Amino acid sequence: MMTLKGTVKRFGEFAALDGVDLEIPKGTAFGLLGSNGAGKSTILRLFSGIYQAENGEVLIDGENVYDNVNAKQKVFFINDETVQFSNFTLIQLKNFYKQFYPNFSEDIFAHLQGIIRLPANRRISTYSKGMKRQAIVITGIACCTPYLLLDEAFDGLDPTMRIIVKRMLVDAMCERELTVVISSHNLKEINELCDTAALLHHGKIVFNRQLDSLKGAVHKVQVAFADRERVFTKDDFKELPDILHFSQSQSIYHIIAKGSEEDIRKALEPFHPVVADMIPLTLEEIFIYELEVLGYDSKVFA
Amino acid sequence: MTAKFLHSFPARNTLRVVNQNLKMTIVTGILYILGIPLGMGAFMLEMIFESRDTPYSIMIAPYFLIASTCLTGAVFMGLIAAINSFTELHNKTKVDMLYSLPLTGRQRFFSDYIGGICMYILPYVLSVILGWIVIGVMYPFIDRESADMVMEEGTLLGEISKYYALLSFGLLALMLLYYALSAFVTVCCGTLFESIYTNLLLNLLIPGTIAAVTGVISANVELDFSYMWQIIGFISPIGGLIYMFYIILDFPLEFYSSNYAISATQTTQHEMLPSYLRWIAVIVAVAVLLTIAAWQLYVRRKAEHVGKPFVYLAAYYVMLTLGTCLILCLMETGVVGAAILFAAIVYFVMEVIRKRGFRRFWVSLITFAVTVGAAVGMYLLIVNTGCFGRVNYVPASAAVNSVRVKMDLSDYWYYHNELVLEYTDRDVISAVTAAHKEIVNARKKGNDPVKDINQKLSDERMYNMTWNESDYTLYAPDLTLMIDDCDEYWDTYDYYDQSPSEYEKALGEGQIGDYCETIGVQIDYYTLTGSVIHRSYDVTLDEYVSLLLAVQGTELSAQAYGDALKSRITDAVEVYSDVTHTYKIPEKADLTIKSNYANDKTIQITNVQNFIDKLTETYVKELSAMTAEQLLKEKVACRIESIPVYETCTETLTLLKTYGFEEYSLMDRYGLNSTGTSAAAIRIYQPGTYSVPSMAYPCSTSTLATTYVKNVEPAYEDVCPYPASILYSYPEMTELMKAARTDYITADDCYLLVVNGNYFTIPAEDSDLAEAVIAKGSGYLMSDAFEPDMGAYSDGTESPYGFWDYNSDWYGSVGSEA
Repeated sequence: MMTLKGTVKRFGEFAALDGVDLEIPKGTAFGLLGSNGAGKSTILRLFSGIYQAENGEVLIDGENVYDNVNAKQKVFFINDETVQFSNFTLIQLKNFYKQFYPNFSEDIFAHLQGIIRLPANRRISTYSKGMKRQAIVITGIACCTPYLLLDEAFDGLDPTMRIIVKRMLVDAMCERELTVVISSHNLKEINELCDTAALLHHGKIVFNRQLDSLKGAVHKVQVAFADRERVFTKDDFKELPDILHFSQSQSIYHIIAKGSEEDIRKALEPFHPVVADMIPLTLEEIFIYELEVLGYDSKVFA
Repeated sequence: MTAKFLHSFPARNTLRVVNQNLKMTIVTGILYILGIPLGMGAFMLEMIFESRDTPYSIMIAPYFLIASTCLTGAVFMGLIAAINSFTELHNKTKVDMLYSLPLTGRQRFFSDYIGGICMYILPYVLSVILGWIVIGVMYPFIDRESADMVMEEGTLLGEISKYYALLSFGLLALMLLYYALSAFVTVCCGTLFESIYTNLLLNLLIPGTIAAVTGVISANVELDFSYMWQIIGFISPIGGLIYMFYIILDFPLEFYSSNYAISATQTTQHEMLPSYLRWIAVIVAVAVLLTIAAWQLYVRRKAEHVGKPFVYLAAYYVMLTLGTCLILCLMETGVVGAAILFAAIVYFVMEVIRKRGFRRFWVSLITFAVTVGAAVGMYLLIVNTGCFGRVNYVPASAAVNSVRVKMDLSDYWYYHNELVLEYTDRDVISAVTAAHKEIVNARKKGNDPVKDINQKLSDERMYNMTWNESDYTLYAPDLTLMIDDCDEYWDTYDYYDQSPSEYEKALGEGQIGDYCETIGVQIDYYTLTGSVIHRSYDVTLDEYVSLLLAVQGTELSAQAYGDALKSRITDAVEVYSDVTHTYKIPEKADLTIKSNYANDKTIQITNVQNFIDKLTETYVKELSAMTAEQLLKEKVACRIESIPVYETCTETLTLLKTYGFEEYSLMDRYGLNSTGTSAAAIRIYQPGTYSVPSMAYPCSTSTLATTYVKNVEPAYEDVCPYPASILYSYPEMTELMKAARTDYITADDCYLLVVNGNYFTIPAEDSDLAEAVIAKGSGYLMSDAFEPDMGAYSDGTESPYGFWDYNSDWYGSVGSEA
């Protein structure tokens, strides 16, 4: 399990993480969502032992990660850059990481390389962006660490290769209970790959839930009421405890609220809805509406 | 702990560093190979040519140039090695990759560090080995039987090997220091740009600023800071390089100063090899300390600091302060405003570079003001407190392990010699510290006894009239150096005919001539704590005598004289043997001994070695029996290679006589006997008119033959083209010459005799002899002006000395001003 306990990480005056508590169980495919500068990459770097937290704990299987070889051997971190490997060939890259990760599997590496067919003896600097990404991903998977951290891991991959890489990750998760933590702005990918996600904003966690329950916990309702003369406001629906969004278009009201479908319907019942359509929310919509509540709103530009 | 460390050492990361920098390693290796084996090859080739007395068929100098350039380049690669090894410290893209590896900070630091050393040092070691091979291959081609190649001690191969090994290890130590400093700087900086320029500047500024600041302070504080070079040599790679070549390897010369040194020591602590090894040990220790400091900073450094110009500002401020101080040293030249302005420009440019803009610029203004204020304040504090009392500090004798005293004997002896004695003897140490305290007390509160003497001599119109012995030429008071420097001699010719008052005018308004002949002395204390206290002074005669009394008249000083005597005779007689290819002392030799009284007396000696041994043994025995006070006054019977043999050394003189030496009188020495052809110019100054009062004043207790002459007429003066007749007419003169002393120090009133520009003191007990000559020759007192440019007297008598005659005209002009 990967754990953050009251973790604070500052860069000068700026608090990238401000007392974050987070638990990522083993075998999870965990998505880190958040606005720019929310602290997603910082969490990944804390878990990979690059950064040291100013306060709180950063644990992997109960061990502090920073400066701890044993804990760090359980983690492989793939960041959003590939320049650092430019001078390697694929074989050299493999040999380099093989020295540091005792569980490195030549078989897995050969198998994955066979799938994506990267030129083994060419310098990585001559690869395309997507090829570089493939190279480091297969190396990371071959290191056979229990935890794999990916920061914008699918950036630069073509759609086919995205599918291939996702399959590779899913296979690894199935075969050896690999825990994958993905930070991405591409919510579709998180949606497809992850079973759990956390949303970060300004160094704090907004929510941390399984995606299925997350999707079931927020609903978009299109509702029209019998009393057409009356103009309803957000305050009229006190039974709906957590309204993320409320708007009106002629006689139709659009409400996004937290809670089960049943609870929402029950809360609307007293107002005699003539139409009440429950529309499932995408992860992107949840992301946008959750952050809108926190003031991170695209309308500020309008 | 070490075993644990070694076990956990991630060699794989070191291999990564080396692998990733293989090209750089190869370039470094090529530079080393061009530097060391090629350099050694050129050196050996030169030796081969030299040994075979062959004109160089190959121009060797360009190879040396290539070798030294490449070696410099290779050494400089230490910076590149450090930067490339710690790439994660200045390259943002490498941070995630390397910090996320399963390594601790310590493991990462040391594996990176060792990786850099492998890149930097291993090619060097390989090149040194290749250098040995070059020596081995080329050595047989040297004609070892050639006279130039024969060593007095040891073998040629041994000597070459020794110095090659010393240089190799010295350079290795310096490279480790340079690499450690580079690694330290790299850890302190967060960008490549800052890493490089900070490294270069620190390497230049550490020795440069220390030297400049020391120079400025030593110009204003009576303290010898020459040992500061030792510090620079220990803490700075460039300073160390200078130290290695110019101080450590020249150590024997530095200790004995010259071939003229008469030296002996009771300690062996200053031998070259231990000193050199100690220096290497200190350099390595400093490198280790820097490495530990770099390690501690590395593990405390955060990954996110990459890209920050200076992660640890201390390194930056050290550099900035050193640079500011270096520029402020220009203030010493009088350009205060310009120096501050220049320092400000450099300071603010550095600040703008560091901050990448003008953010919080007011802080820079304040720190600059503080830096300048602190530097100037510190300077004033040092100058006004005499370097915090160090100027007046004389260590307690109990705290001193040994004391070394170096004294110039030139004035005392008329020969260029210096006495270097080092004692561990407690009594001598106490005597030296007591004499040193006298010197220090005389200089307290800004006093300058030498300046005081000159002031008094100037005020009372007393001048040190020294003569150019070889040319019989009178020269101006402070141009003593002319004797050794012909060019200057001619340049300053214009002063010859100037009266003292004219000379003073030539010096400039308000200036005082250096009438008082000061003598350089140097005292080095080697304390029990291992520190060295080094002092040197220009002392007055009194102070000189005090110090001389402290160190002379001991078994060690007798041994020093004996050793000097032995080595000088050996040098004079030894011959090269074509059979054994060594220098040997022959069975028979024509030995020419130049004594004070006899010029180039040559006699043949059989069983030369026996003669040298017996002479030295007898001489040392007799000299050991003499007290320091005796040595000051005792009459010198003769000199052997300028080493004095006193009249009380009767056994030595007897031994010399058995080998055929004869005692010669001063008459012979100065060509005044009947067979001499030289003319004689004779003056005798009475006590009270010339010398003793003037010599004794302000040198209140002692007198040297070199003296101060008041502007009064001599009691007797004769310039005669036919000295023999006069001298034979005046047997009193012959008697006077017998009593005359060249080496004589006394506090008594004495007559001064000047013969052809050579000064002699007549001991007080022989004053009657001087008076007899004056009485006899009173009618001959020259008052007739001599026409210097005409080379003749006014009555038409031709001067026997031609144009260069010392002349009464000059003298007369002095007299007329009285």
